[in-house]
Amino acid sequence: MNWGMTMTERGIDPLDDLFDAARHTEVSPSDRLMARVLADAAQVQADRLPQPARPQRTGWITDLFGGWPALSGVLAAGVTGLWVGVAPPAGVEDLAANFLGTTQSVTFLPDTTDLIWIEEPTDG
Amino acid sequence: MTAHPPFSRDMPDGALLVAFANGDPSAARALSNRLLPRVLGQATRMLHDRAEAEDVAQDAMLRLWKIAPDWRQDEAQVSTWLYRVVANLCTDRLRKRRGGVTLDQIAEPADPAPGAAAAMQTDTRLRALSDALAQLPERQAQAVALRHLEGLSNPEIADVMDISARAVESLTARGKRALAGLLAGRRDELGYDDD
Repeated sequence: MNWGMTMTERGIDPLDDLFDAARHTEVSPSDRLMARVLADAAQVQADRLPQPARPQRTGWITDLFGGWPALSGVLAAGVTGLWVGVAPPAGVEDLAANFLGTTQSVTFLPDTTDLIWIEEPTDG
Repeated sequence: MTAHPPFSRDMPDGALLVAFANGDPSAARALSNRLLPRVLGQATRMLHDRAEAEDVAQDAMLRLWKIAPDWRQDEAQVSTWLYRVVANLCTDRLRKRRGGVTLDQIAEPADPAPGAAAAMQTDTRLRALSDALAQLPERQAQAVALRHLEGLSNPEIADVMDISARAVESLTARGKRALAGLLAGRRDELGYDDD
């Protein structure tokens, strides 16, 4: 004879009474539990979905030079120039000595003697 | 922040879960508002421990968020899936409890105020029920809890536990008999002599 049968014979089954009490237990999630659950959901979404592409701060520079292919040529020329300055070949050193060791005057104006005939009055 | 339209109450849980998987953040709140009270209720009724029940509820919902991308609406009900997950998580907890205290070691409530005596007695009885569930084989405990604490029908329990309805009948019958046997020795201390 078990507990349930005994009480059933008396008209009350305490096990069913317990089940009934359990079913009628009021339970509602606290705000804190809801926050924990929603934080988990947000984390799962963030981990799985691809993040939107962030604009690069240096993007305008590459655009200015016509993109990475063009910018790489500019950079290569810059590096080459820097290298020539740091460790110039022998021929370049001689050339530089020749030029820097003497004074050179260069004019882009025509020779004034060629212009005199325009300014001098002519007879007759 | 992008505003999302509220979801219709008629929208199936599975459709909401797909919306969540597609990145809609408001779907998580809609699903939580619908499902969390029942998930927490199931865990509370099996464990009769608020903190443990909240941990189980959070864990179950986390598993739901993670399975969302693979969810197939036409193959399963979210509610059925959650009943199974919560039942498994609770029996895991009950198994650990089984190795701890026995029914005879549970502390009696001390000096209850007159107004609170009935509530404390109910609390003691429900804790005793949960501890008795912990003594059952896990499948019996799950079947009994789903039938008598959640009020599910045998076919519904069969879906949750993925067994036949006949197997459900057998499990619930044996489980209820075992529970009655476990609690019989505590009839006096649980106050049933007063009934």
